[in-house]
Amino acid sequence: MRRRPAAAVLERRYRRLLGWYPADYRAANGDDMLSVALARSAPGQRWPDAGEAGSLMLSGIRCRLGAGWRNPVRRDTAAVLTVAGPVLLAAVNAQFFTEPKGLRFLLPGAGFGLPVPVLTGAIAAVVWWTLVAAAAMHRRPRIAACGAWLGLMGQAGFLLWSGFSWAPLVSCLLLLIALMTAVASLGGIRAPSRPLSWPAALAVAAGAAMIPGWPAIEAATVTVHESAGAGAAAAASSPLFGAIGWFDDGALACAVVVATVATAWLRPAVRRRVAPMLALTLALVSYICWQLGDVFIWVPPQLSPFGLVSLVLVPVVGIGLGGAGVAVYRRYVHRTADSGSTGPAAEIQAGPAEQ
Amino acid sequence: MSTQKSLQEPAFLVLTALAGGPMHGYGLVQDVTSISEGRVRLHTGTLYAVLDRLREAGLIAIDHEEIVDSRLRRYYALTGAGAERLAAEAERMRRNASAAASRLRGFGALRPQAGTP
Repeated sequence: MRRRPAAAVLERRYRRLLGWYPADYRAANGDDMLSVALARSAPGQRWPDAGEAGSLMLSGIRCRLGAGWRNPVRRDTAAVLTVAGPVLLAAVNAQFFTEPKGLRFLLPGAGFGLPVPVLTGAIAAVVWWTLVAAAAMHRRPRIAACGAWLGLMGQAGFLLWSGFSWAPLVSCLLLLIALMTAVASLGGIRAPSRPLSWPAALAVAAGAAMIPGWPAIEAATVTVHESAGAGAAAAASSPLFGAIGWFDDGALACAVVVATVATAWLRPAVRRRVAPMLALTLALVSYICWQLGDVFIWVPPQLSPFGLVSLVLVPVVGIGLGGAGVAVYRRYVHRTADSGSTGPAAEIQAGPAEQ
Repeated sequence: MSTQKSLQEPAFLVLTALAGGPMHGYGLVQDVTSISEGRVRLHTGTLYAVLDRLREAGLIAIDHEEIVDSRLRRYYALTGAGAERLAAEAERMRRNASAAASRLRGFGALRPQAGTP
């Protein structure tokens, strides 16, 4: 049998090794890389040497892992989520202790409230996620990424520590948002500029602050009544208890409106990717907040028909109002642009990436 | 104080090689080996990872391509930003080396040389 020339065999083997790289990278650089690899080989060599093969495989894997973040739109989307995710996580964790049922540390006689380790963990989580968001906004993406992954481990650690016994569904949903944030933070590292303009970041933070804000107002009006019977738990009342459901919905709708308006500052391509992810995250946050009352009293969370309607209605109304607000704002921007003003028109056209 | 991250050795050597003029991949491998006196031998995977990083940072750019013996050769060239960065890095290393040499002179004056009683 005729033996194939060594050079042809070696070339085929190098081509196989280049298969470790993504197809688009191979198309752009494959021939050039192959000519370098073949030029390095000795005459008559039939197999790539081990160091060369290892280098091509490792670089190919690294290239595949980083390929998703080479796209600038994906990178900017990830950078925005590295700010929005931690802000929402801080807000939800804050709601754990601004909720009236979480006030055991203020009302020692009450027969309800957060266990102390849970309360401590929630406060620590609020501080932690706020710092992660601040690091991302201050263009410290590596610190933000480390913080996001440590935060994810913290959320997972809490779930394991509690043995899935305390608010398992809420903890799992928080873990999901933390995972999304941690993955996004890897893309944020490669983003060249600040992910959000300061007004947009402020809008996201204001929207998120509404989530624990209203329960905090409600908690301020709670009165604890000592029980008549020995050993019976104390009861709590508030003039706002009857209205809380509607006000919670209203606050969440406002949060959705503000977040929708905040995305108007993004570049259109980034906005298209950020909007559905932010909507999903807000839906998860809404669900967590609705169920918080039930999980405190160990009842598995269930959606009542009213809750289901609200879960659909509130985001739809929120996004509708936000969209209408953005449309009005854009009309105003175009009008000022036509009249030669350099105010908001220039701002919205430049976007945050150019800052 | 500069907050710019220092270049890793392969990237520094690639920029140094390109400071002599545009060069293709295999030429870079050979020149880097020569500049480092055989200490650094770039594998193909490592070389292209370095070239990608430098191109993303705008320190080098593709100069031109040609076909030699029916194989593609892509030439890379140093950009203005690359030249500035290389100069800054060389200056930083020179200052470090100068500080080390100065301290070592003092160290040598105080300590007896190895082997002397």
